[in-house]
Amino acid sequence: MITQYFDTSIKKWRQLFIGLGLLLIVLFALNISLGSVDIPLSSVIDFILLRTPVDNSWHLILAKFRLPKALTATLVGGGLGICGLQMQTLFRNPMAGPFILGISSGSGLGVALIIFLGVEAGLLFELSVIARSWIMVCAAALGSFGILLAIILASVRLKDSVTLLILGLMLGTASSALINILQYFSQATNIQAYLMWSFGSLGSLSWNELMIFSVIISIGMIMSIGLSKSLNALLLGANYAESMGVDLKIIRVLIIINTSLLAGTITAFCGPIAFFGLAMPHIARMLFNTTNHLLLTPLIILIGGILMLLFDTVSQLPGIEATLPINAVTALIGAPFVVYLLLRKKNIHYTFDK
Amino acid sequence: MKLMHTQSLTIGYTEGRTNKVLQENINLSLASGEIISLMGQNGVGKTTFIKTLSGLHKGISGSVLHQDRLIDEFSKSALAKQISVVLTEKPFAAHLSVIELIALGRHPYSNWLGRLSTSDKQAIDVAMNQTNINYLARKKLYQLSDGQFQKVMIARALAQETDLIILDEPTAHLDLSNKIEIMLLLKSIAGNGKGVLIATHDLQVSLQLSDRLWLFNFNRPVLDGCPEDLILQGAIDQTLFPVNNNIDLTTGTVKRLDERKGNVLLQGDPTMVHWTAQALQRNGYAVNKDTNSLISINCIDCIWKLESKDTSTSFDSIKDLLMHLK
Amino acid sequence: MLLGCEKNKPINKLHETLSSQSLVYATKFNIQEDHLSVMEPWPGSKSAIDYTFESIPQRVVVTSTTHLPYLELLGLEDKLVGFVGTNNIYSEKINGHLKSGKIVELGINGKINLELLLASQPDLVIAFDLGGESTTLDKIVEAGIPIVYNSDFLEETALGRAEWIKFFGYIFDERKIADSIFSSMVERYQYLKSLTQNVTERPSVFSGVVYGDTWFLPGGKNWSAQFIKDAGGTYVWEDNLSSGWLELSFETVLDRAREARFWIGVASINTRTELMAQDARYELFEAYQEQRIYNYNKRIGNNGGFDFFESAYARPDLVLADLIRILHPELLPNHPTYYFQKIL
Repeated sequence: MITQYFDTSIKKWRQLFIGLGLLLIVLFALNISLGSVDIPLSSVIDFILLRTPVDNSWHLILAKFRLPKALTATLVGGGLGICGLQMQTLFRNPMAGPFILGISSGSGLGVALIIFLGVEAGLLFELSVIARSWIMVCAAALGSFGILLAIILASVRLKDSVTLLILGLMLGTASSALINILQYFSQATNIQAYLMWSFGSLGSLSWNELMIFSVIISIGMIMSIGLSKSLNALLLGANYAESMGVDLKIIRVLIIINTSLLAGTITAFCGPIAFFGLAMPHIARMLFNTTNHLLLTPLIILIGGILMLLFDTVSQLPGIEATLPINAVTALIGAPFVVYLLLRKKNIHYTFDK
Repeated sequence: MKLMHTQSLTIGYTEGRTNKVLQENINLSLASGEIISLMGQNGVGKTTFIKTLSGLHKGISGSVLHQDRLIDEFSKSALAKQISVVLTEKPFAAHLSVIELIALGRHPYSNWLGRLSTSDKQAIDVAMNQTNINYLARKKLYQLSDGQFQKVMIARALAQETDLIILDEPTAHLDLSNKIEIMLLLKSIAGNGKGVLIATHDLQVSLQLSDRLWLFNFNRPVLDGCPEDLILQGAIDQTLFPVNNNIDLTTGTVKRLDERKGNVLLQGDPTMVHWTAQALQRNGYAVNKDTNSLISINCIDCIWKLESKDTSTSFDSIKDLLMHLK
Repeated sequence: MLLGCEKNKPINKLHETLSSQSLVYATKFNIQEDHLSVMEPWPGSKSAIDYTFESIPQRVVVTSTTHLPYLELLGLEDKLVGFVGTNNIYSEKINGHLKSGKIVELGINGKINLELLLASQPDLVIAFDLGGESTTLDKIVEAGIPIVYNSDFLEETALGRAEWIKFFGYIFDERKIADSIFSSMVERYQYLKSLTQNVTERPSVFSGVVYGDTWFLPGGKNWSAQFIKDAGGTYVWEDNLSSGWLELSFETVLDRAREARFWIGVASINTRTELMAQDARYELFEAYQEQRIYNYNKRIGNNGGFDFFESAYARPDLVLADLIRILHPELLPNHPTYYFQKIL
């Protein structure tokens, strides 16, 4: 009887995943078709079918700008989503997101140090010009991994997850405060440069950077899938999980490494993208009514990509020459969407109060 | 076969650098097919003991052995195949379906992707059949009643296919019919050859279900014996009710609250006698076979006949009887 | 002060009849018989402010590096006692005064420190306000120190902006010198402009760099964009009406400017390698491939200060000459560029 249940269940989910995969492809195509420059659909189709001559301006835009941006958006959406999922399960807190351990503040601090102290540090070139220098990426990555290291060292010694959470919040707050101080003593141009970084940007990766980025994110995603089983066990609580064979210390460290790898890399390459990682797991749980990480993880990878592609398409404000920063769109559209879902679904049960 | 035994085990917890000892020098063992209830007042170390036995907590000294192997020698995964637990904690997310939760019990067996093999599915099947919850399979956790939830958690432990199952307060918060169901379930689990250890406050469970009791006391050695022996020795009284010794252990009721109103001679149908005596005692009468009692009640066929001095009255309910006596 | 000599320079008869009271290009201030009026002291201000001066200020504080060249042109740098944000100053002379202690730092990076300001006992502060809060400036007035608002950045033409030398000339009673300097400069400017009137080809020019996803470049009516037309070029966005800065997506800029001949003005970038490090897709521009990128980084101080951001507003003739040299080198074959150089 149970086998029957599983078989129908598997069939249902398989259909769903195929459907989502198709939707992802459709949105991907939509995303590369729309942008500030009006490219006729026929040219896009030509491009997809590999028919255009290499020299055409539109072809360049599609190949060098829209395609890498769409790929970035797909990876970022999925990556941030599963980070959020893991943090919410590990800390048993529905308000946790990928940056709850202070990762994005750490990144910001790395970037701020480079921007604001670059001249003082005697670097050869003044870095009020930013966003795509490798130094910038490294600075952001080092900043976030610095925080990560502190958290991991702490997590080995602290037994309580809530304490870890508070530690992360404090580190994040301290980093933000340091950034504020740096800004206070800086020139307007540098402040603006930092501000531009903080808006987040999906479109600034070159193909080289995208290759490295996709490798790292893919590793992170595979690791997440591998951690799903233990995350499921964690749903019952630390004691139950341990009684089922989960090594809590190791799993905690692995989850933190995985999240920081994904969130830190994304922030290093694309700047801090807020809200998305926090909202995505809730959207997935509400839409598909499941808490099973073995299903949620691939689900979020797909839906995260789909939604981020959608948000990016909107932020391009197709037809108008101006664009919106991605952070604005994720929050402006994302938040009402979550509210809508919350109000529509009457059987939301987050806490298990009986 | 000894499933689990302890050797000079001292349990407690570490605060800073000092050890706070809760129980010391514990030497107990549990065999397959046995149901053992662990009892004691709050704070005496029952939960700590359970956690130490299941590897969730380290003992201060001495050793725990499962199937004659030291607990430290087991890998986490191997230990999970020896012992499963049912605790009082609630899961974090309530959207899990019943079958998904039970499937979690296969954690030590399924592959890294969580894929369930045929034997995994069989184990789940067996567990659900044994606990009689097939009809709940698709329900979500938040849709379950307390009793159903408890059965699901036991099913999960069963799916883990361990020789020893440890339960912490499995019947707390359950209504009577659910409690009885759980008790019967545990009995059948032991009947199938598993060892069952229950930490409980519930006398009904411990006295009616268990093969043996373990009693934890403050600052005294652990007591280990069959329930009836321990009752007769007065050990249960001392362990559980050191202050108030007014409990009638056969019925679990508080004895003789108030005995000012005199004696009553009570005869008649045994069941009616039993419950009438209860009502009379609750109202301050002592019930005995003293023929010199002023009041004599005879109960037959749902009629109570009261004879006192020269009067004789009949009632058709205990309520009326009591009203008259007041 | 060398204003440039070219042979066969025609004499401009207008030069002699320019009176100090008529401003030819500037619209945001004017000079009356007995007072100076600033029409729009800060952006959006509806009422003008009139200033009169009983005596010549001897201890002046200025608040922007763009104020310094006017002082220097008029030989007034000795009157400077304090400056806000001295780490950006290019001028050697003024840096010398700074070192010797004659000029005091009054606040790091643009934030006026009131205590230091009061301690330096100025008798005039030349300030600017971008339209935001001016509580600091209000406090300075409260302390009894006179403030004059300099809103030269609101001028819409390059010559109009440069005409503000007369603003300084009025305040420090050097009107004649200011007039003469300005007239010579206008003469030279018009002469240079006339050189390009009959060019057959007007090469296309674009500007700016990308920050993240956004490309910042001057609007069609921006100060820098106007020079391009006068220099015989076509700014790709010349039909745009904004006098500020545009924020466009990279692909939009690529779409319109991919085949533009010249790329002039790339912020703090100094080499093509740096450009590539910032974004590899810059190589898609023909201007990149053909190595026709120019920047205003020829004159940078040890402290990183750009002379371009300091003195160019006062010397539009130098800027125009540079641009003509870049766009039509055959018209000024012997002219070494002043602010601009090629990016290699």
